[in-house]
Amino acid sequence: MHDATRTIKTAYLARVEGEGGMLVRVKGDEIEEVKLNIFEPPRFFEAFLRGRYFTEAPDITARICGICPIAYQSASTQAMEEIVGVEVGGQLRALRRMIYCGEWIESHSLHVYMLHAPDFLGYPSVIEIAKDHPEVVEQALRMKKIGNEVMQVIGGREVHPINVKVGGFYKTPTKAELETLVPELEWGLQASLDTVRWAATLDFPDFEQDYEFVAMVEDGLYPIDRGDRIISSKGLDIPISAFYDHVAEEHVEHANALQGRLKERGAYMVGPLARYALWHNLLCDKAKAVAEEIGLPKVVNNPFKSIIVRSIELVEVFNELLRLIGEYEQPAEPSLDCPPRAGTGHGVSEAPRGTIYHRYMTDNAGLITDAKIVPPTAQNQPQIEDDLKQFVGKFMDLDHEELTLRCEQAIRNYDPCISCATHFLTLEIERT
Amino acid sequence: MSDILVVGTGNSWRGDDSVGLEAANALRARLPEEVRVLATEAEQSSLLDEWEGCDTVLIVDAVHSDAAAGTIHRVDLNAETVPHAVLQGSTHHFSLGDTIELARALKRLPAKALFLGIEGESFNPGEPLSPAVAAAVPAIVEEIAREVEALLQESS
Repeated sequence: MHDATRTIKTAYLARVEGEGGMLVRVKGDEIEEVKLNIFEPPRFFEAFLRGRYFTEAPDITARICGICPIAYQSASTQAMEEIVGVEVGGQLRALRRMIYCGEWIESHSLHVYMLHAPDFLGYPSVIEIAKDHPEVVEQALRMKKIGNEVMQVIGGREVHPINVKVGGFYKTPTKAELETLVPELEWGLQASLDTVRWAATLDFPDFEQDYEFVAMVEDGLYPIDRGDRIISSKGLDIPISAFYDHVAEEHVEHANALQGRLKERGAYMVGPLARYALWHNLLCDKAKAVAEEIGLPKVVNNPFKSIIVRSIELVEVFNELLRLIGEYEQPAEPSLDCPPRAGTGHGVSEAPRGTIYHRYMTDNAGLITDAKIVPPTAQNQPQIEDDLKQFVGKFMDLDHEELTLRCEQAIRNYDPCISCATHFLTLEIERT
Repeated sequence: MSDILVVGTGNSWRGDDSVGLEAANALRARLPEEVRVLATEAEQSSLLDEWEGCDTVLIVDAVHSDAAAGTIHRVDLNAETVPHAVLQGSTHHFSLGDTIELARALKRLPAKALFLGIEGESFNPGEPLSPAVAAAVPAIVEEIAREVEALLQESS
């Protein structure tokens, strides 16, 4: 049917040559090659962390990503607290969870409305949606701002929250300070329920995969801020210290990032679909009820429907923040004493886009001798490539433009963190 | 005067991408206290909230085109659109260009909005500013300071 070689190539991720891009090469009906090139900076940070004092890790790693600093801070503080033998519990732990919920709100509302929705609504970007439906975009910005305010009340008014430290916080908020957030959080809870109902009305390609879903276990709670085990839908159940016994990081030539694969079975998926499939039973009643109302099954294998699941997770975190603020009592001390110690520590949290793993080794003086950071996108990358391969195979008859757009959308399903790196402008200047 | 905002943006770990932050930090020491100066590495759409209620915003960032390193580009955002290449979609990132155009669409761009871009040449992780870019910082600080002083005089 098709004889010619078709190449689908996008450099749209590229603000710098080689920063990111996608290549799918098809010959006849055969897919010859799928390459996703994603640059991620953690390798650089791993080297940079060596020789630094252990308490510096949260501040340094928070700078890896402008949109998920808390994910990095949470995993690094957990690892360091394991090394020094301190357990952060009670209201300090609740505050850690609250600030992380703020990050989810910011990230998920940005992705659902501003990055993913245009694909479904047939707009080139949210800017065109804003021209036709400004009220929708204003709602999204209001939701996102609530997340930002949560992070500022708990984390301080800096971009990268400076208040989180090994052992707790530099300063804790009063209950009254947190309660100022309640009216907007209540609005946000309603807005997120509406978001779920709206997302359910979108058109989704008929595409499902048999995923191995991977997420962490968080002690009876929907997994967000701190895990002690990692499980999968195909039988993986390991303490986080055994991460590298089961996950191999492979360097592939076309990508600067290492790709994570399960040694036993290969590609796997982390992120909203994985958390939802594994921990649906731990969602709050409102989130469960709205999922049932729209007829969403307990396991979603269509990655395009991640926009619905992200919206359900928005319901979860708005509700969780209201619960935690209601129960909050300001702790007597903002942090626990953490004297340096030699050892190895592990940390796992659920970034908005999936499980993040950190491992550190320190010497007697508390200096970091080794650092490993495995971000979610490195783990999802083989699965994204497999999705692209299967998707193109199934929808090869779509015209070139439509297929290219759908491939981009298939990548966006994962909300990949490709630009923790730079945000300078690519500027084209025409001179006549 | 709380209605003038100066924003320097970028990534402090990526070579010349930090030039906007450097310029903002220098401007904080240089400008009168009543002018708000923000050096930010945050996700860019949050800038919409930062300049809410401002009459004037001056934005400094690194740019990457075919000009010589250290070249200063000046764009009056109310008169010109941000070049199209800036608006390419991405999977995760909402860029400064996107933010400016979104603000325009939502009528949330301040009455005076000026973009000053400094041409960078090296954006490798962990590197300092390249010499040509570092040398341009005093010039851009001076240009913005003059701009702000003129605005303050106009309004006094």
